[in-house]
Amino acid sequence: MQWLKHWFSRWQATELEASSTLAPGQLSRCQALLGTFVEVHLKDPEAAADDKTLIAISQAAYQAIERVQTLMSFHDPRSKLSRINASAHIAPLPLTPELTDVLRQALTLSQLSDGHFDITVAPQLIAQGLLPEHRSKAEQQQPVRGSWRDIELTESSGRHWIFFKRPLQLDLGGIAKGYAVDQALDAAEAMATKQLGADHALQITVNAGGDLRSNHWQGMHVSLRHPADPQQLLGCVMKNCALASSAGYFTEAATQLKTEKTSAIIAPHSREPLALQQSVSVFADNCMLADALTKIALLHPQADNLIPQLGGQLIRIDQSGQMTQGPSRADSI
Amino acid sequence: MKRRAFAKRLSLLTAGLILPVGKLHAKTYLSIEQARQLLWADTPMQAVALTLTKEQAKSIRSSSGIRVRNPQMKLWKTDNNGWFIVDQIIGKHENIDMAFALDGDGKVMGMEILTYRETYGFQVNHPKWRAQFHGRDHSEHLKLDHQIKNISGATLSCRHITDGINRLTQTWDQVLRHL
Repeated sequence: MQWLKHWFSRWQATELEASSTLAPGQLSRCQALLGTFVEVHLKDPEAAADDKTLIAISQAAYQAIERVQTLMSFHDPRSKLSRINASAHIAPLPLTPELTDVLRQALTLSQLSDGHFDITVAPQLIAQGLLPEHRSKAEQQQPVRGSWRDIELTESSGRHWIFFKRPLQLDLGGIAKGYAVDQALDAAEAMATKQLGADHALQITVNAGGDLRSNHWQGMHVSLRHPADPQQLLGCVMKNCALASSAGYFTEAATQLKTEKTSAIIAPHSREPLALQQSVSVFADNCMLADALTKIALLHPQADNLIPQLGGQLIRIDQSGQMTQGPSRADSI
Repeated sequence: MKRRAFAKRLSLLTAGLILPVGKLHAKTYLSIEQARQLLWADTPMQAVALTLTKEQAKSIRSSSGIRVRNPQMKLWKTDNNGWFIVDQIIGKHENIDMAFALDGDGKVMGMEILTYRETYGFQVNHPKWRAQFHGRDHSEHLKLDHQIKNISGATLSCRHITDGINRLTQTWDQVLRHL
């Protein structure tokens, strides 16, 4: 069957579309960043903005995402995060404002979720082959047993610093993608104001593989994937400006390692991969929070009560495609 | 040429009958013209007609490790010896139309995704592929199929784009730089 598929896609491969489907005042771009496909959609309801202006605005969004990627990528051994992982247990290291934002939010959520959100599970992801190993052979021999409680953030002489009480490997994969989307939207809005004026209502949407934020979300429809059938999409109306989705599916890397139980979601207390056949989506005021709350939604036993208290609205989709909507923050208070 | 077109149509038809093709989610972003504007602004360029010979395709395959699916290239040469190439990348579950800008030294200056199509159809209708979602009892299938993927989109592999870039830089090195 495999050869037939290849043969078929070979014929398909020759069709290239030449015509533009976009109306004036609109631009949609897609770039491969953050390990996923990042879309930026721009729409000027007055159709006054020309292509050059829209390109400049989208460029600002992508530059913001690239900056977050260079700072917070676990895969890149030269990123700021990799340097922190390599030596923050030896001496405190200064942080950029972006890393301070993300680490503060991460630690607040770790505290509020009783450790069910934890950015120190990277060693387990490395063991599964989902993250690369940057440590030397000797360092790998020493077991990493720390948790979020071993991260110290301090402020002195106008700068923020990080220190690990014991060697740790931080992975911001559960929160940084949402943060990158927030940064991209801010950068695009700032550029739009500069280019078009403050009272020009340009509609901007940034979508990084399901982590989405828009400045015109009211009444906007989004599609959520059926956890057991990726082709089937379930419709939903946006309930806040930001949305993120997560699922505890088995991953592709797992099959290459031939291990039975792998998932990109690690339960912090047991340090076991989670293989839960459901997907969760969370709406929130910003995408960083929405992104992080999806992990709490999958891992915390009282997530349905906790998520609204932390500022999110939860939607669960089970294996049969049944959608359950949780209360919003306003309902729970 | 007519015979080829007929054979193509016939094979598409047969394939359509044999394979349970599912709905395709296609997303169109930029047109070729918009991508050209974005990557090369107003730099003048001329279209170049080029079909890679069998030997060239074979040699590109052996040096990049990636098969040349379509020997007919869609390309433009700029006045400063750069290239604008529109090409298709085929991944495990997606076909991606992309535009690339290569400078005079064959270095990739930029790329844009033009159209993204998901081609889950075959696997999704396959019972074994579905079995991955039904817990650990089907772990043999997990090992057999090698098809499992984080569908929620959180960790979509961009490896195929890297493969496509390798193929194109090899194409530049072996063919385009001599044009």
